[in-house]
Amino acid sequence: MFRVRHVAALFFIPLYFGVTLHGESKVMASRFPFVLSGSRALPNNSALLVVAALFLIIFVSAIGCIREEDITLEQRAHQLAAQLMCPVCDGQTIDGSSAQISQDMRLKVRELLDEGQTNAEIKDYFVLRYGEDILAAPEGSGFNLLAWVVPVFIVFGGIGIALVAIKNMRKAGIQAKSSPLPAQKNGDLSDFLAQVDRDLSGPPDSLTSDQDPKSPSPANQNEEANF
Amino acid sequence: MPIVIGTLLALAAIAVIAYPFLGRTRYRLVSETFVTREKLRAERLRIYRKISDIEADFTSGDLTEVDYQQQRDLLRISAAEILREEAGSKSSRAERDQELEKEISRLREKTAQSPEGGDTL
Amino acid sequence: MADLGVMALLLGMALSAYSVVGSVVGEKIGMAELVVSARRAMYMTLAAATVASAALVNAFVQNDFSIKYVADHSNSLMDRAFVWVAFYSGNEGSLLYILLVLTLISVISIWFAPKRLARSMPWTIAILAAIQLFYFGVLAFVASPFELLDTVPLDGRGINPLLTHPGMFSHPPLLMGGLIAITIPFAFISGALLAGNYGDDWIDVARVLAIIAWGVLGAGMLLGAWWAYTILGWGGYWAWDPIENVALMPWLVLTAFIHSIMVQKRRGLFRMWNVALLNIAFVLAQLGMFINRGGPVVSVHSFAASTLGIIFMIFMLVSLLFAFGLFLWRMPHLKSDRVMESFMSRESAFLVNNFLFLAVMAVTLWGVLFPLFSDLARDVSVSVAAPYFDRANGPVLLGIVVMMGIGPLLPWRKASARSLKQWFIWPTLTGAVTIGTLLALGVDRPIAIFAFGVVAFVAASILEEWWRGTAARHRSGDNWAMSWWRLVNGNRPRHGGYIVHISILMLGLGIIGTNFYQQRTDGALELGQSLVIDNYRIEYVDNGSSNRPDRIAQWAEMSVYRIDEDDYVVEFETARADGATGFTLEDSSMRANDELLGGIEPWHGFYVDFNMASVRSGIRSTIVEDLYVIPRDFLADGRVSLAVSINPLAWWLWASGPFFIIGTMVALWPQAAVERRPTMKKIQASAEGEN
Repeated sequence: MFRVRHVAALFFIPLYFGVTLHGESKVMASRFPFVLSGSRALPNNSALLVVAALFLIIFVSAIGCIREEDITLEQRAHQLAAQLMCPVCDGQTIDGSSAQISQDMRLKVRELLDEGQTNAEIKDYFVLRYGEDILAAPEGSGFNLLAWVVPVFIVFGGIGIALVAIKNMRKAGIQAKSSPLPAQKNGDLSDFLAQVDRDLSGPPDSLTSDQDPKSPSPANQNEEANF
Repeated sequence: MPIVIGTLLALAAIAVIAYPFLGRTRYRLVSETFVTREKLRAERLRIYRKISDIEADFTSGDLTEVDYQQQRDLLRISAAEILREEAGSKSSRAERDQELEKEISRLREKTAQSPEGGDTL
Repeated sequence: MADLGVMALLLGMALSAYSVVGSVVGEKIGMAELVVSARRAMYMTLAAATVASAALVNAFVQNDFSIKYVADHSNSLMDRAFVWVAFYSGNEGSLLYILLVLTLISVISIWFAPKRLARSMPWTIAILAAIQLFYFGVLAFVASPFELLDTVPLDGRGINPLLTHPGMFSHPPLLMGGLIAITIPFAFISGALLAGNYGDDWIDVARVLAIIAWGVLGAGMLLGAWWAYTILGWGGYWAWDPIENVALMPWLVLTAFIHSIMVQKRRGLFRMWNVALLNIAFVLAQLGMFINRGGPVVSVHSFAASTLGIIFMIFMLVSLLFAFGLFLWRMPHLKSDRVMESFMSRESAFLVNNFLFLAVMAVTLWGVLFPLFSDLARDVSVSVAAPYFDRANGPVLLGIVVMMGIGPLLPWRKASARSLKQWFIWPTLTGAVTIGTLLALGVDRPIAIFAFGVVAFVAASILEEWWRGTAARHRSGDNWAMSWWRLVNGNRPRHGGYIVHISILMLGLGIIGTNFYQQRTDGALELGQSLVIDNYRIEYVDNGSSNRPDRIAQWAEMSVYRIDEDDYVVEFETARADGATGFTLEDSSMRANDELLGGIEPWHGFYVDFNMASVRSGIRSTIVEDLYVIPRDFLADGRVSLAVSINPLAWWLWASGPFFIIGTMVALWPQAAVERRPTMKKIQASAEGEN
């Protein structure tokens, strides 16, 4: 019963204390995607890295303990059935459909499993008889590979665009900061500032909700405001 | 019976859309000044909202004292500037009233030709 | 009645057309009467749509089978309560329902529009009226629900039996209403752009309208999942069916929008991006309408394919051209002036989350369209169903949940005040301890364990956020409950959002549990026999049946026992050797540790006219797991054939609903710009005292 995961679990406890004990030094802001921020890449306190590494270790070590043998043949039959479409129903798998052909196909799946065939062999069996669209997800090489490659590009492309966009906006931000802040425009604002402070100290009558669309307006007395 | 209801509905619709042309009330497009004032007011309320938000952030510890004061002051100044603009737009009201007069007289000329057009203004 | 309906539709068409022309011309030549008149024509379209709908409902109530739609979707035996369902159960009626919702929400939103948008309202009204014109036209000339039959049948065909479920009173109307409601914020923003109103004036309006559409659509999808779970009898709740996908895609984009609109509200960033998001959501909603109305993709839900498909495709393309043409035309005016300061800021987290939402949307769209591409490119048809979307979208969805924990922990602008480590340490620890505990307990499925860790991390981050905010207010003298209440009240959009996040976590628990840990077994029982799965024994006690003119119904009474595995050692060994998950017992006598939990009554109906079976699963639900019994068939030899599953954590899927709705309401509740906060000074004083 003693498995890799138990060892893994024991490992993490001290690691966490390590993080908490890593006391004083600050994690600098603005260094999140480490690769993107150049020479200052690594924070001097690697708390974040430790945390990230931690998740990675747990994840990888946990993957090591997949227990294929614990899944009963019946479970496997269900899993396979969920990957095969019902040929006569619209958009249902044989696992979910109660059509006669689905029942027959489920029995066939179980029979093939009992014979000791692998999942791939069983799928091939059905593809041979019913065509490629019997599979609930496209498989194989060539054009079907596109179905799987495109999402990877979409996801990583999307994240990449987001990070580059932030980086550009940040660059613009640094430039904007170096230029002096717009000085107060000429003229005395003190009266108005006092009014602002009065407004902020509590809602006077003139203030109404900014989301209340029916706010009464003084100019709306004898004309129908047209919008 | 259905035909009657349908006809009544159609007549009601025609009455409703024709009323602005025939009724006694006169309309004019909302003036730029009015819209501008509404916009300024909304803008100012949005700034107040932001000030409330950074106050909450400061209370919760999201903002340092220095950042909080600095951001708050900047927002207060923008709000004050908007207040000044609002005051400015109010003082130009006299000019606007003149424009209004012109508009009204133009409308009068137009409505004088239609028999039912009341000259209530 | 049919005459009245047709008249109302034609009238509505004329009014909409007048409203489009009147608004634009009136605004262009500055003729106030024309603009006002066009707006009132808009109000009258609501009357026209209401009368048309009332005519159809009345035809149902009166069993007027001379109308084809009524004859096809009801009969004289139908329970009168289902008139409402029958109204939108078919293609034509559902279009009429959509039109009714569109006119209603258009009128309400125009009526309550803030005065500062006055100059762009004629454009908004013109856009809304143009869309209404399309629907009135389709209903009047292409898909009329008032078409008459040459020979009046004695009785109607009856309502689709799958629809006779309480969930059907709200799921389809919410879903269709949510999809069409996206039109309204789109029309407001586009109207503002057409009028040259480029400022932030539309922010609050667009945000409120978008959240309404988003909340309605989300509630509709959740109810649909619940309906599928309890009635469709396949044991699942979300099949990644094309129709589900086309509702999900605009919802995802709206989710991105209601996040990034907060950045525009607070920091003045992302203005152009927000307009683009709303445009995408609107076009996707039109795509949904198109696929729903005889589009090219096979689905369980779709209405019969017809010429309607082409019409809706054209309308979708026109929407696309209009939305993005306008966007590109006005883009130079939409630049945001301010900039970002740091990667470690809430706004950058929001941007990343936005792209993840769009990524899920794009992957889903790719999956929906891939069979078409395959057909075109290779002339080979392929299927793209649940296994594909689970694998392609699953990791990204998990990534979104991770961002849901990270985003709120980061402050606006840059992480200067918060020591990031101090803020991240508790949530991370909670997540890691959760993972460690699950591993130590010997739970398998690593991906699921990781996902549980993520859920714990996010939950801890929300609680921490609330804890800190509440504690700060508590120090100023309020009691704990009051402090929390004021924290939430102080920024309703944010804390309403957190409540919604909690509902998403609950949903996540259910999804992880049912996807990774479901156990299933099949079996056929005679009276008195039992089926054992895991720690449950299901005994077939009694049965019953009834013959109604429209259906043959059969049901089984079953007792559910909790058992101790030690009492059944031999049977479990045999089952394992056979590779079976469960087993059947000939002899149902009680064993030592059997404990009666209660009864279930799975129900199976066969509708002769429709040649269609409908089942109600027997469900015994606890917060840990559902015992879910599908009666597949009542066999001729007296046995009942069952598909039994244990769905861990399924309860949480449905428990998330109320949180979703409450959170949405909190976020929507109007908030004053400045609140009466007499203790502000005190809070400041105490905060200073802390430093």
